[in-house]
This record gives sequence, structure tokens and C-alpha cells, in this order.
Amino acid sequence: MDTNESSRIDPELEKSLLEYQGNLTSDVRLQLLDLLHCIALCNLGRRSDLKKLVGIALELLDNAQRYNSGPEVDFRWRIDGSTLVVTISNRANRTDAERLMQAVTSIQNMTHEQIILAFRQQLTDDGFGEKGGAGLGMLHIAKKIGKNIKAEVRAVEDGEFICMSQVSAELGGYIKGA
Amino acid sequence: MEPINIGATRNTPSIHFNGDTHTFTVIGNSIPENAGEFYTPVIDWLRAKASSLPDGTIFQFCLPYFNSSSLKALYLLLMEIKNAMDAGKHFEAIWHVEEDDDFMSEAAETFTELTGMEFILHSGILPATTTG
Repeated sequence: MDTNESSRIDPELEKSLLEYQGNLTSDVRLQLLDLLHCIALCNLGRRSDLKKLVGIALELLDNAQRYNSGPEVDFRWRIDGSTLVVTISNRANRTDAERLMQAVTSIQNMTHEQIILAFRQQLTDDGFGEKGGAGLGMLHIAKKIGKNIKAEVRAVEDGEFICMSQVSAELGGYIKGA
Repeated sequence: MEPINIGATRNTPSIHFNGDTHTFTVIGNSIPENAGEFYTPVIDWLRAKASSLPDGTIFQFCLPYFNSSSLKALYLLLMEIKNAMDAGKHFEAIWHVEEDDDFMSEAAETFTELTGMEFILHSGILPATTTG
């Protein structure tokens, strides 16, 4: 008998969607963080990885705010079935667009052990990027959830690019501690 | 001992050193856009002062949410503490963890692995103070 049957996620609650299009300031990022925490708690229940899941969105929002060269971003958090998909699109210059693609391609070519090693090396290296980043965001996500990370870059006008990053995380079937 | 006294904002934690209780605290969300800029004065303060802090000084960390650039800044901050400990100082490091929260507990594990520091895990969240 499945003793966790009573804590199985209610299929009716197994969907949630948050979309945001607009300016991404520190205030907006904070409000989204609060809202996502609330949405995750309400729809997934209390679980030990709740903040890790919200943390994925935080990292993507962080990256987008740091490198966005356009007026707005397009952010989406979607839980459908047993998968959380977080997607963000923003404009970026060529250097930052290439850095994103390089980071994601590099992760795709690593084993889990190599990801952990790269994360530790990047974390313990001195210094920050010129925009205040640590070069850790995607590695931090990959360390948590594996290589379910995609990035696409599309050239627009004036040497600018639209960068799309997407992370998928399996949620598992049970609410822990509900 | 010259105090350090930074009030919390919604993006950044409060950071205090209380010279009477010999307690250094970092409390609150740490999600600044530029973690290097925020933490550098604190890291510099520790680099200058850690070796003269009294034995028994307690370092308390309570960070419900933090971004990865803060993780790096916290590593640099912790290494200043560890360097003083390696030079003979007897400090205590406490890492607060919300009940059943992998996010906060895994950060303590990561920092233990990377710095060699032992953290005492305490359950529960501390309130950040907003006045600097």
C-alpha cells in the first residue's frame, strides 16, 4: 500500500502559470520572487525543495536583469503535470548573447561531476564580472536540476539579440511534509 | 572594536558586528543585482579586523533567499573568517535553516566543503533589522 497516497498532489492543483512582460527592476524581481514563493507553496504544498524551485526563477531573473539591453523582459513560470518550466527572454548585446550560449553549450557537454567541479571552481575564483555577475547562475541551476537547460539566441537589429533561456525541472509526485 | 552596521533592505541582508556580545550577524534575503559591490566593504572589514576579534566571536548567518552572485560573495567573506581561524582564532559559525528547507541546508553543506569550516545548524529564521 502506498502510505503517501493522501499526500499525492491533487491533479487539479497541479497546474500554475505566471507570466510577466515588462520592465525588470530590482523591485519587480522582488515582487515576482514573493509571488512565485506564494504560488509554489499554494500549488505544490510545503516541500523541502520549494525554495530551490523558486531559486531557479530567481537566477534567470537575475541574469535577465543584469544583461537585458532592451526595455522589457518576457518571463514565464509554468507547472504542468510533474514539470516546472521557467522561461525568460530578454534583449542583449552580442557579447552577452554569446556568453549565454557558451555557458549553456558548455553545460550540455559536461557530466554531472564536471558541472559540480565547474561550479566549485567558478565559486572559488576571485572576482566578479563587470556587471556584478559571478558566472554561476546556469551552473548553479544545472547543479540542482541537471542539464534540462536550453538557450536560443536570435539576431535582431543593431547588433542586438533576443536571448531565450528555459529550464525544466521534474517535480516528483509527492508533497513532502504536507 | 569598530562596529559594522548595515541595515537590511528588501534586496540585501542586515550585517552587524556587536562589540559587546562579540556577535557578527548576516540576516535577510541576499539578492542584490551587484553582490560584489554590496559585500566588498564587509569582506574588507573582515580582512582588516578578523584577526583582532576576540576568541569566542560568533558568526551567525540567516539567508532565506540568496542569488548565486551572493553565494560567491559569501564564500569570499567566509574565507576571511576561515583564514583567521587557521591563524589560531577560535570562532563559532552558526547557519540558520528553515525547517525542511534544502535551499538553506545545502548552502551550509557547500560552504563546509569549500571552506573547511564547520557550521552549527540552527533551526528557524532570525528577523533582519532595517536600521543601519
